[in-house]
Amino acid sequence: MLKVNKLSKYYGELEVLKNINLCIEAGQVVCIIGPSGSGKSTFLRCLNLLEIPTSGKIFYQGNNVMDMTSEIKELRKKVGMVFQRFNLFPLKTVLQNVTMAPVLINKVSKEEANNMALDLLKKVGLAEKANVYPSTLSGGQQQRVAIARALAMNPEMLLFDEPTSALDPELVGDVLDVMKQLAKEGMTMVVVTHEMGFAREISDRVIFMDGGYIIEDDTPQEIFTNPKHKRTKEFLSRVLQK
Amino acid sequence: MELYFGKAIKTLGPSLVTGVGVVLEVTVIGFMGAIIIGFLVAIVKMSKNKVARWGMGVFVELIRGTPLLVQFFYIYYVLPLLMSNLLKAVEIDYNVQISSVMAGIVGFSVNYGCYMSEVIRSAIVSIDPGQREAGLALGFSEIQVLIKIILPPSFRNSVPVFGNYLVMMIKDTSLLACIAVSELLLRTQAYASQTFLTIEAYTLLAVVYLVISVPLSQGVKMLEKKMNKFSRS
Repeated sequence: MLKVNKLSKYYGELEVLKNINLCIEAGQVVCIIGPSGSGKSTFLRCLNLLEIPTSGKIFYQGNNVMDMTSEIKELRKKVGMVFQRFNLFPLKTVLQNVTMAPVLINKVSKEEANNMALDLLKKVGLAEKANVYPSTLSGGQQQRVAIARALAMNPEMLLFDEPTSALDPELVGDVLDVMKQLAKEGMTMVVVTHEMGFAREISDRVIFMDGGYIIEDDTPQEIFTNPKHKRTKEFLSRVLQK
Repeated sequence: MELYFGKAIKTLGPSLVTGVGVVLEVTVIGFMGAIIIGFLVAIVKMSKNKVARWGMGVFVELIRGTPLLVQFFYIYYVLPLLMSNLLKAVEIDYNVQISSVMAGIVGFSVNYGCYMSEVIRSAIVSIDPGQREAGLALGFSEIQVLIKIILPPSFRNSVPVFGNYLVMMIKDTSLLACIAVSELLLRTQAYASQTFLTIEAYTLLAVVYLVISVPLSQGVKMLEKKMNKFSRS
């Protein structure tokens, strides 16, 4: 479904992603873990071209998306993204946040978009919050709205950039539950996360990144119980101790 | 000393009421023009095109480096002449004219637009870059992101500062007396020179300005407070 070929990214002289190769199949749930500064968020942001890679190729359904600027928009319609800091639109109600893109981009009628949005909000457990503004919601609720907003475009794939890192611990669970539900329904997901329990339980594959490289790419069982690389072992022993 | 305020109110009053109409007309249209020009200037000054950015920078410096009164004279007397002469050069015999009210509206739009563009620019800059990214990630184009996602909150955050400019503009309409717009000052001047009720006439004029601007600036303050209460998420 998504194929990354020899991708690298420089910020000036600093090489933050080094020769990344990766294939993601439809329906897979892939978690990317690793220490901060390892390039995992940058990598994720390269996948929908919020960061433009310095070199390398990204193929989505066989098309090289870096060739044409018009392809970028098409790619982004199909690949949704959920951010660490939610990034809801503050002047729009919860419902408007969800319907905005389908109405303006996909030219869905307002009525249809509203019905779909209400279904999605029900799905993330926030149907009763449809007409309030995001600032009145807790972080966990805002993040669930952000997931509904991304789902409203009927994406084929979802990218999650540390979706629970900005949340109070007691709110993390609600967001993870929604993500688990999506995973069960067969959504293709790439999740940058520090939630090792989630990575272990839900993902089909776990990728460990460090220093701009993919160090290890394996099933969660292998990564968590039998890591092959020294750096993976060190990282896991540090985070799992806590 | 005997003062005839009663007489001044009776005879100058109705004329001033008409003058207030002129002032409001120029201010309302001029201010809307200023907001539009302010946004255009701000957007061009933030564009990626170096030449456009530089050109706009020069223009803004020209406007900010000359007095508003001089600009009114330039728009009212010089621009029509220049344009007529230019047309003559291409063999079109047309006498370009601009009404004094129109000159006032144009002058205010451009002058205030340039000043307000800085407010607008900082409001745009203060919008969390995550908003732009969220828009792009949903599939919006850069222009859609600007219009639908970035500008509405920038506008909203600028409203209290706009209010202060609005009050200033109302007071600055007195400059238009110099290009023969029959606003408040010109009417008062004519009245005072006819009746010699100088003290009464100009005092009344000052009161009329106060009656407009004090409630307005209080309103702006209230708006500011109200908007600060709504915490931005």
